[in-house]
Amino acid sequence: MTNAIKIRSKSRYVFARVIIYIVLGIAAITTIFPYVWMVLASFKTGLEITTYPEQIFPRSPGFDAYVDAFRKLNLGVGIKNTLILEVFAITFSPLVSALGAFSFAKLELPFKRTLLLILLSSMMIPYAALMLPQYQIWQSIQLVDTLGPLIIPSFFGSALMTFFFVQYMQGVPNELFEAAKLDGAGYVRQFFGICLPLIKPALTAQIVLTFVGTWNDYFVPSIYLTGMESKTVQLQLLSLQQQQNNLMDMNIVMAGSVLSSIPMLFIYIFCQRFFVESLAISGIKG
Amino acid sequence: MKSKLKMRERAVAIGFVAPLFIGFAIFTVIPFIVAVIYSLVDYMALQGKISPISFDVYISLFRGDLVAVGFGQAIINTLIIMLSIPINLLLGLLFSALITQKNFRGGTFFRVVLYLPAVTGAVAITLVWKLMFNETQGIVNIVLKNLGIIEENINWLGISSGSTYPRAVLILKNVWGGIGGVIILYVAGILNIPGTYYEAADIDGASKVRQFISITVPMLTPITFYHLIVSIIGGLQAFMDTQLLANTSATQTIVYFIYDHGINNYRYGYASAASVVLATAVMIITVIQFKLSDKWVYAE
Repeated sequence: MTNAIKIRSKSRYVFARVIIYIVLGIAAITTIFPYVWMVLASFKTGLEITTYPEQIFPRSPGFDAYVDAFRKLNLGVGIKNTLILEVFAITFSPLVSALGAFSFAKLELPFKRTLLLILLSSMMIPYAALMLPQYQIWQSIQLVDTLGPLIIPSFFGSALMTFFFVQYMQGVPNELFEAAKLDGAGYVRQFFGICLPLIKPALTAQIVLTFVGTWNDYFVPSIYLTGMESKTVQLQLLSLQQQQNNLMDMNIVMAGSVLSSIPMLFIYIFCQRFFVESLAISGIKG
Repeated sequence: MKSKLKMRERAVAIGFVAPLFIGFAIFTVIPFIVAVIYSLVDYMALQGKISPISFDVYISLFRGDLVAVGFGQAIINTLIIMLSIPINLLLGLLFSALITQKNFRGGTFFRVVLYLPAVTGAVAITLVWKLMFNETQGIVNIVLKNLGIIEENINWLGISSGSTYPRAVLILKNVWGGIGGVIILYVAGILNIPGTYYEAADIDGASKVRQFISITVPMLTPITFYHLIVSIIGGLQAFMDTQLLANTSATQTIVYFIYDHGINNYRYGYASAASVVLATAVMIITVIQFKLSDKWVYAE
């Protein structure tokens, strides 16, 4: 290869790289921009947002909107309600699912393949198809507009989580359980003493994903929670919107949006690999 | 003795899966059967009225009488908004190929940033989009006007704005919010392709573009297929954008139709029929995936 060609191919390479970085840079800026806009709007006054043309930066940035987010948007109540849901969602659901998965993966469960398929078939039915009859069930026991319809299902585990745990447990050697059996450990002790510690990474991942999912959930809570005292964080964000459809309070709504996004941002930054791994695994294993 | 132990283990095993199946019965099986029944007897919850068993509801559902925005329209809206799926796959594949190149710096940063919308709450994001696309004060119109691309403000999300703009915004938002997930999948897939394939291609003198088309794309078909199915199933169930971002006759989705007729108007028969149609579609797609995935996935 002569020097001239080398230089030319080198400069072509650099040129291509620059173009790629520009394209990716635009994509990254586009992704981040709405968040930046959210933060900027939260520091403006309602008047600034409605003045035309809107200024990009707030004239006298203040935390008024953040204070109002708690006063007018009821964000505190929303956070409390969401946290109550979280407690049940991240304890019972993973535990019940793991217990079921333990049975599927390690115990003499009759017809296990068929049973697992039946359980998985529940994921084929969209929630919208179950919404009305489920609503009537909760109505008949007077739990509409309480957290009940969102808490009680977590006592019965989740099919998806169970499937995830079954897959994970299949990689755990059976000998460990057999040895425990010979030592006279009961099934409950095998579950808590051996199974749970061994599947800790999978358990942690599912707990993180469940926490984020519950925090961000909108559809189901919006059906059941209508009173100001029962609404979750996400629903409280909308409480000003529904009263009046103007932009005057948008700074408060944006402050609430920022506050509701911050915990998820931190979880994402620190637990990033859980999101990436669980998604990648589901895709590669199909 | 041994069989007695086995019997005991079986009993315990059944006990351990019992909560899952009790939940399955209460929250899935029974509600679904009830929904099918409601659709057949045209149950009107407010009046408590039922009709003799027939398929009349299904017939009027597809004929589109009784309602302003028909079920057919809801299906079309849903499908059009799902145009974001092929866009996401194409762009996602391209970005993934770019950031997995040898000696490429910043790939992880890029992947993390683009997945952000999937993690932060959808309500907050929808609200800021609503603000950005506001007709008179939204930053989008202001920027487009200053760049001279538009002369008059565009009413992106309003009812009076026709069908193109609200749908375009919804598609754009789905691309914006969904591409990060596609990239994570594709990057994992690309890193799984044995490097020897590319080395062999290098020796044969194949260009990078050629390698991308002949090695990367075919090796990624299982992921493409998986993502396609998952996003079709998800796309069919789209709801929130209609309710919070652009609630026009051009954007009302299937699930919005079910919600509106069921929860808002107590037409349980109508809503249930629509939900049974939706469930059937999702089931068919899932079964297709199940049958085909054996064929498509490369043996490891």
